[in-house]
Amino acid sequence: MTALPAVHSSRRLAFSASRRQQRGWRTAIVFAAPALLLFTLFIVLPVLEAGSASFFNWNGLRAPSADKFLGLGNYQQLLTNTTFQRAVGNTLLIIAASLLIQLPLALAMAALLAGRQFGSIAFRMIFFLPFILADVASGLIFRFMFDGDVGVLTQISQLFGFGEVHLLSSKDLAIVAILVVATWKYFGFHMMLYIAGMQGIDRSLYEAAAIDGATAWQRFVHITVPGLATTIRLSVFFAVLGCLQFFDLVVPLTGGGPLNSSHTIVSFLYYFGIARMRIGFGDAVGVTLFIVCVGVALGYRRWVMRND
Amino acid sequence: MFKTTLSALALATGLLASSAMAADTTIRVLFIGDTPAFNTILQKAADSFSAANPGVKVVLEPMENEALRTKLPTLLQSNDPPNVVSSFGGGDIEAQDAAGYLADISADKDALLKLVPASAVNAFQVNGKQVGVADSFSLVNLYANKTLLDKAGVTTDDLKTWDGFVGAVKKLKAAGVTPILTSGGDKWPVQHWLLYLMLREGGGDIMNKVRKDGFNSPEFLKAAQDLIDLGKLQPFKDDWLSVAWLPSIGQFGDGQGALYLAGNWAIVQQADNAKDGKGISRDNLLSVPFPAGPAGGKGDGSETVGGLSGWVITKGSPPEATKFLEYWVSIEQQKVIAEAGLGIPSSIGVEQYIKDPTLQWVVKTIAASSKHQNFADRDLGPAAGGTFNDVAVALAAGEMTPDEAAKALQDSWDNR
Repeated sequence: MTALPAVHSSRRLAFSASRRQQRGWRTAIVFAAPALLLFTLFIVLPVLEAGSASFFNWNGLRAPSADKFLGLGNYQQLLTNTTFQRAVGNTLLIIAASLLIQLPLALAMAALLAGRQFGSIAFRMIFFLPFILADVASGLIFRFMFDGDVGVLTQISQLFGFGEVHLLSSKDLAIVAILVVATWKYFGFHMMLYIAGMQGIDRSLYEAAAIDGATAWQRFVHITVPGLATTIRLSVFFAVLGCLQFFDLVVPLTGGGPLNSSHTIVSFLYYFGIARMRIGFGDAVGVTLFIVCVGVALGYRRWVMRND
Repeated sequence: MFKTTLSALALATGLLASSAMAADTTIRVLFIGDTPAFNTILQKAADSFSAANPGVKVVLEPMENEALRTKLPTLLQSNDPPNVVSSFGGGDIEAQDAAGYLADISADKDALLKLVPASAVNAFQVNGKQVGVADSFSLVNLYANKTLLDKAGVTTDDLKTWDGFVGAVKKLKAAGVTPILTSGGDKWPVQHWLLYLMLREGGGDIMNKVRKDGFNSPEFLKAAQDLIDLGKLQPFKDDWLSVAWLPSIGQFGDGQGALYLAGNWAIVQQADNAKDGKGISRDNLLSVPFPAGPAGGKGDGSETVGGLSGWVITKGSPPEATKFLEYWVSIEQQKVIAEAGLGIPSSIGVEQYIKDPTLQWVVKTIAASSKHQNFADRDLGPAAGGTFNDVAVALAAGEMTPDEAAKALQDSWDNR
């Protein structure tokens, strides 16, 4: 006899839990609906539309017609396009420069400027300012600075008795110019991330290490870097995804030239897809890039940031 | 009394509403606005048209040439596209019209024919449908700095044949003068070299031939090789691969090089973009036809490159947009352009107002031409036209063989 009320009670509890769960779902849907709607409108639908258009030889001016269906033709053209291959190589180079030059530089500067020593705030601002500047403005400024006729680089060169410097006219050096400007522009952002991360590291660890006789380098390697691990992983994530979508600086600085030697994947998409009204082809580039970005993001979250 | 007041109120409201509606007619004009003097004249025309048509407002939206071309497809698809747009006709308007973005102004054809010659009207027809009108002619030819030619002992007679021209390039180099300036950054100024060589090698019908039979024609391959051979002489300034059009024509105005193959707009722009704002003085600026030859070519040497530049009206534009276009191409407006030496308007009767001797020469040269070929990048449309520009630069830089050039163009043409 005592079991029956217990069964009733557990049923009631289960029913109540179920209702709570339902209410929870309803609440979640209500709160998530605006975000889901926006995500669907501005991400899912355009991606689906681009994916569909990438199978057509479409100039973007009217809905693609059946007689322009190419199947995987745009993707085949993409894989054999030497300019695209170079654009992929340049994008990988920008990622490498970001990971091997920009982020270590940002970390070093953060270590130097994280404290409250004289001038640290001013230098933080100086290094961060380029990040605030619009990419297009930065590109135009450096295009002027690298100008072979009147640029600062040429003037300095001539001061030392050398000739004009045509950095942007060399198909080997134009990409170097882009790397220099990108490093200058973005390392300050990563530096600020690292400084913020450093402020969360327990100061007593440094004091204890100092008492134990650890050198500044040892404190940096054994306390700062492990303490910043989460921030560094996040910073790498931002850097890689940002490099994959690198575009704004390229257009005003080199326009992808000379001889299409300094294109990134996105500038290639713009010049060879949009500007030439081959929107279907451009969509094939966009879809390929989207798949790479999603793959990198999910893989990175799954294997590198799984504990963050 | 109440009814009277109510009626008066209704009438006043109606009048206010109608005047508000009239004031809402705005004509947006998107144009290549890289010549300040031209912009000023167009603005005056817009203002006088607005003044003569109460309630109509003409808004000018100047844009750099390349920027306009790349942004136009997106603008045409917006809910609020510009109404009157600068255009070079050719493949661009074919694509725009096929997509349904251009207005049919065939009803205004007769009115236009009273203002401009039939060639200016016909150039902006697509499958018999009138979509716009040409307001000016242009000619691409060699502009030369006389002082620098003299320094190298080069005369304009040397530039009459291709062999003489090649010899002149060598002489200029030997004299320490940069022979040729151009813009490999914007690319389109380099296309003129390849197109002229195609006309000389293949004759006036060469563009139709390669469109129909393919780019792998002997004439195209020869022209491509001619350009490679010219590039081997390293006739260009060190930064030619990256410099944009306006800075490069500014370099010419500064006297940094002897020759520039450019349209007649260069006459004004070499001065506007020179460091001193004056450029080469007019008595020192020579206009020379593109050389005849090379030997064995099918061209007669009188073929010219240039175009009929004008305007199109976009679909859904108010009738006032076409009226503004008619107003703009009328002799009253275009004589100002002619007198200012800013170009060669297409308006009937404008010749008497062209005072500039160089522009007078341009008019005569076009009249004597056996074929006035539209710019290749416009003629072929945006996809193949863009590749044509790429190919021209790559050939001049020695980065592409003629066969590779023909294949790149054919692929692009087939996938346009």
